[in-house]
Amino acid sequence: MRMARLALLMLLLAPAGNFVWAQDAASDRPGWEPPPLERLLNMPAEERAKRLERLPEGRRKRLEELLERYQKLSPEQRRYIAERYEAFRRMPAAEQDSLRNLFRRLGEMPEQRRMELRRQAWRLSMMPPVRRRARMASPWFRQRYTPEERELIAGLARLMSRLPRGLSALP
Amino acid sequence: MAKGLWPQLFGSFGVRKHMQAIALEPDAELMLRAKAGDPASFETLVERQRGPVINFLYRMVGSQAVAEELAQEVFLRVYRARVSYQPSAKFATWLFRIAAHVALNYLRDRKNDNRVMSLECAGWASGELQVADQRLTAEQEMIRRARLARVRQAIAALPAKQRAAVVMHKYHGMEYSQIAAALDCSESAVKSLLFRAYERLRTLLADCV
Amino acid sequence: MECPARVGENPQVLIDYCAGAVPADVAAELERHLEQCPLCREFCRAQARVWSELDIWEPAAVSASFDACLRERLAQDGGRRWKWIWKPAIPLAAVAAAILVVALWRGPAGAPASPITKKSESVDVEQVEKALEDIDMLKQLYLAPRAETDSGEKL
Repeated sequence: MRMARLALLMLLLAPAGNFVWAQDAASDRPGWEPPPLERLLNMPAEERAKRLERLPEGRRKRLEELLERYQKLSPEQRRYIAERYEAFRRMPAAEQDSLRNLFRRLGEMPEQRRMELRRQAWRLSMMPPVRRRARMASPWFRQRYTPEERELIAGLARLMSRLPRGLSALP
Repeated sequence: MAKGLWPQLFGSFGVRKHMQAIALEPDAELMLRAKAGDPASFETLVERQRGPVINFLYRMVGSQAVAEELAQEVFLRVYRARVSYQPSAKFATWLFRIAAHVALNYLRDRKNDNRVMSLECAGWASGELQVADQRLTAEQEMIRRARLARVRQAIAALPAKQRAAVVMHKYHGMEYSQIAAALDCSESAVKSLLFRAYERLRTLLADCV
Repeated sequence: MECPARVGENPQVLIDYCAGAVPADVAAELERHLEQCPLCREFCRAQARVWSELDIWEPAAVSASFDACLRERLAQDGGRRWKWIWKPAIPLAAVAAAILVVALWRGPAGAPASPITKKSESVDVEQVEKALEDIDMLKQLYLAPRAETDSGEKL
């Protein structure tokens, strides 16, 4: 009955405009995805599997893993990432590659260190440039991180500061 | 009909009726005007409340940059909430409730960083650009900075909710009932929070000059 | 007067007194008591010291760009909400009809037939890979420590 009332309400509002609704109740997607991803997600599972079959096994497994991780995100988390993804795509290609490269280097670090550097980069990205530089020049900062780590943090912070500086981290 | 739809559909009518019935505090009046679609009222509201909100958040998180970022989130939420705003409580109390919620969420997400945060406090105390007090000698200025660093670390050492209660009580002069409303707890819980917080601060700041 | 420091666990009235938040008659009574009670005297001395120290921490000036940043965020928020809500996509009536069908049919939760029929379009798998890698990268850069622990995902 509640669903019927909701549907009646939406019918009454229909003349006012369009509304994006989840196409798949199970995944509850808000519909912002980049078109190729959206098309892939819209496919029936068998057809999706057929498309991915053509890939070499390693790539196929990686893609399936990424798809699974993406589908686990809540609608709120997807909206959060959408905001940053759209801004990321608007960055010059060289900067996009730079961020990907820094991220890859970050991935090569031990887990605890990686988390520490990532958090520090995020915090610095929230600061105005002058304050960020002052912070990175401080004795405490120079003591805590190696020159390579400082370079990594500085690069990540600079590029992340170009993306929307929303509240905190991923909800 | 879905609950709350009628007030939203007839919001402006409700606003007029409400404003006729009671004398509103200025901020509540501005908020109701913003609700009715007046952007200038919202800007005035931000101008009036930006300082207190940022100051509260600054003392909660210890960083001006983060405080301003969080303050933006607070005002964004206030803006979104204007559609359903009803002046049932003092405006500042309602605003601080949102600010406290934002601050506590931020601190909860950062709680794994306790060790890092305490080290950062030390780092900020030493490396932060501070404006010197021209009235003091160099030695007095050094002592002032050392005391300030100690105060900041003492506040940072308090659990989040105790910290919020102290900041609201000490720096914003809020009454127990207001703090209780902002922190969504009872007045006796607020008194308990404050008692434990001040007890800790008395210990941490005992040796201050 | 009963000693506030000894009655119960919360000598709240002393904290109120030190904050200047008690009526004059209560303050006068407390002051008479403080003359006799070293415990309460010491409590008030320590509390007054705390307040005086806390006064040192003055707020910093708000940055000049705060208002502009806020305006930008409000504008983005308004635009984004419109983009999500008013994206040209599925006619509402078709969606509402689909919901009515679901409500009346009471089919298995989470598995309704999709009301949207789209022509099958070619999928550039490489583009999808790239998009997902970028999305995953951004997710991990902004991933909150709590979410990491909960999901068990590794960077």
